[in-house]
Order: sequence, then structure tokens, then C-alpha cells
Amino acid sequence: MMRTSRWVVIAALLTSYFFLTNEQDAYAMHIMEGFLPAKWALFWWGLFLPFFLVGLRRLVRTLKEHPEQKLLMALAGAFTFVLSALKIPSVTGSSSHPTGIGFGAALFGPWVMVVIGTLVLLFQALLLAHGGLTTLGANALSMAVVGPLVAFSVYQLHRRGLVSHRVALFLAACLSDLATYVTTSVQLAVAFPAPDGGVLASFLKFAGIFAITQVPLAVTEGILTVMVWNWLASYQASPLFEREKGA
Amino acid sequence: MIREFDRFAYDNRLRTWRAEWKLAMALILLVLGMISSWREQLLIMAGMTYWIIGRAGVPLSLYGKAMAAASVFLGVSLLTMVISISLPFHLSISYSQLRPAAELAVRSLAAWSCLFFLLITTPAPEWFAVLRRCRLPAAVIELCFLMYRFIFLLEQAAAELWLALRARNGGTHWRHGGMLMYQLWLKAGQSYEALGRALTARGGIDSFVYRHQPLDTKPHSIDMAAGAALIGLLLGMVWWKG
Repeated sequence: MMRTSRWVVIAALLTSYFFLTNEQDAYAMHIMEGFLPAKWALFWWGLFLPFFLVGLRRLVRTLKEHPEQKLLMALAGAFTFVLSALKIPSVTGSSSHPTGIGFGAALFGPWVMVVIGTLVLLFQALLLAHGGLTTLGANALSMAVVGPLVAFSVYQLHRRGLVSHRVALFLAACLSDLATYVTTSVQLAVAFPAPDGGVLASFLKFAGIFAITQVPLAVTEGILTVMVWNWLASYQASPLFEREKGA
Repeated sequence: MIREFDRFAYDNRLRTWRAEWKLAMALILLVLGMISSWREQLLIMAGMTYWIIGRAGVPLSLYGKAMAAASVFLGVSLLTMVISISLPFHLSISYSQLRPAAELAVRSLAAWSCLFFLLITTPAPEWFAVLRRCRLPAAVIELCFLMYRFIFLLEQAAAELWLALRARNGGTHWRHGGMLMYQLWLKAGQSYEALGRALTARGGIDSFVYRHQPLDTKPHSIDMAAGAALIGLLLGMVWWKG
């Protein structure tokens, strides 16, 4: 082991910051193809599949009853995909990539977003080589399962009258992002425990380094979601919005 | 980069190779890459580079750019693995982690090259046709097909909106991101309405019959022989080491 000064730490953190927030495609939170060992890739696939099958069953049932919603679902998926590829200015001055999962979960419910989120990840792998097939189980569990479930649970606070609509939306979008990032950090930590300190130390390291981009992203996405919702509510211009209003 | 990838997927020299063969080869190599050691993984990477650049005709610059973008996650994660930070701000480099980190990098890049091979040589509609033949529910295939269509419509719309925003000195404040999302949402609504109307005019949108127009395929004997030889060699190496 080698010890160096605090300046090296600061330099390393700054390097990571600029590396993570550069102008290239910095989709830093999807685990890359082949990164997880085979047994962990299989484990996360196994854990994710039941959620996907439940979501798929519900989706197929919904589409049988309301076939006209097929277009809507496809559009929501494409919107989430394009949103995740947009570089928008973040609250810290860097650029960030909204996921749209919180927004989608509030609008369509969590189970539809499980399937849509998974398809978005599949498209990201097959159209952009971002994420991967072996790591799809792990990525989908964090972004398409945990994210929407957290977002929808938090959004329910408004329906129970505990918080205002805007606060519920902000928290849903913000916390779903944070939950996704914490889940990914856990997945990486259990697969690669630190030699000194084990899984916990590894989790703190991964969570710490990804917090540089993910915490500003979560706050930005929370604010943006409320703004977009407000505009949509005031103009009532989008047919897509009618679904939530009618629900 | 998505348009560039999609263009090459339709216009590469391996386009006439049957999608099933490409899929089978990439998946077998991906699995072998996951269970083998760095020597075999380097061999897989070399093989894939040969097919992507040498056979499919993808420019080295595009391949390198895509790999660099994909390596952002890899770089940060490897840095996190080999460096540990302890209070009060002491940095330690764990030399014992250097070798596992290097092996992990080789495995990830080998697996990624298999994924990229699929992406750059096979257009998405051919994927859907293969998935349909694997008896995936029709509703999911239709959803995939519609998503694929909308992705490019919205990506174009987002690029135009962003250009318009930048042309008016916008795009510098995070609030502009909200404007962009909102306008994109409206554009999405317009696309939804337009396609909905077009489909209704043609008899309703209850179900789409997704028909894939099969391409005239060629045997690609050299590629198949090279693929079989590489797989055979890798299996031999894995078996030899037990």
C-alpha cells in the first residue's frame, strides 16, 4: 500500500469529476457489458426476471383491454430513451442525463415502467452499446424495478394527502434516481468487495465516486420533473397527459 | 452516435450474413469470454476487431470512439477498485488489486466487442425478426418495433430543439433542460397523434402485423469458417486448462 497527500486525493476526485461529466457520452450509471462476474450476472438476472414477468403480464393484459395504448407505451419508452441521451445543464454547472423513470412511474404506474425501462435498457445496449446483455439483469433491477417502485411509492404520499403534489413529484423523481444509484453501488460492492473493509468499504467507495454526478442529477431531475408537470398542467396540451388526469 | 451506428448496421459488408449466425457467434463468444481467462478474452477481442473493422468495414475511428465512450464506466470503476480513500484524506493504492482490475478490463472490453459486433452489423428490425422466431410475445415485438421508430423521430426532434435553443443563446441554464423536456414531450404528443391517425385511417391500431422483409443472404463461408475456428480454438483452450 502506498500513501500520498491530500492533494493527490483532491486531484483524483477532480479528475473523476471531469471524467464523469465530460461532453462525451457520460452514461456512467449502467454497468458495462462483461463487468460483473458470470455468477453475479446470473444472480441479478434471476432476481430481476420475476419482476419483469409480472410487469409483462400486466402490460399484455392492459394491451389486450386497451390496444390503443400500445402506441402510448412505445412512445413513453422512446421518450425515456431519448431523455437519457440528452445532455442538459445540471445544477452544479456540469451536464447530466435525466432518466425520466420518476416521471413515467407517476404517469403510467410502476409495473408498466418495469417493462418499458427494461426495453429502454435493451435498446441502449443494442443501439448504443451502452450497458450490456450480461449486465441487463443488474441494470434493469436498479433502473427499471427499484427506480419505478420507489418513485411510485413516494408519489402515493400525495394521494394520501401527506405532501403537496409538487413535493411528491420532486421526491419521486429525485429519490428514484438516488435509489437507482444506491442499488447499482450495492451490486458493484457485493461483486467486488474491498480487500480491506469488505462489501461495506467497497459500497462507500462506489457510492462516493458516483455521488459526484448522481446527486446533482437527482436534484436536477426532481426540479425538472415538477417544471414539466406544471407546464403540462397549465397548458394541458399533450394527449399523453390525459391518461394521468383521467386515472 | 446512434445515427452513425444505425447507418452502419444497414450498410456494412456483413449485412448479408444471416442475423441468426451473427447472433449465435456473438453470444457463444460472449459466454466463452465470461468464463475464460484473459488470454482467451484477448483472442475474442482480436477476432471481433477483425470482423468489425476488417470484414464489416467499420472505420477504426468509429470503433475507437464507441469503445472510449463505453469505457467511461470501466475507467471510473477500475479507479474505484484500485484506490482507497481513508480519513483524513489519505489515498492508498492497493497493488494487489491492480492485476484483478486489469483482468476485469480485458473481460469487459472483450464482452463489449461482442455486443458492438451485433450492434454494428445487424439492424434492429432483423433482431426483432429473430426474437419473433424465438416465440417472444407478439405484443412485445410490436412494442419494440414502435419504440424503434419513435426513438429516431424523437432523437431528431430533440436535436432540432437543442439547436434552436443554442441558436438563441440558450442551453446554459438548467432551467433550459426543463424547457427542452417539455417541448420534446409536446413533440412526442404530436408524433403519437399523427401515427395514431394514420393507423386509424388504415383500419385501426388494435394490432400490428409486423412483417420482416427478409434480405438476400449469402453463405459468407470465410466468416463462418473463421468463426467456427475461433470458437473451436477457445473451447480447446478452456478444456485444456480444465
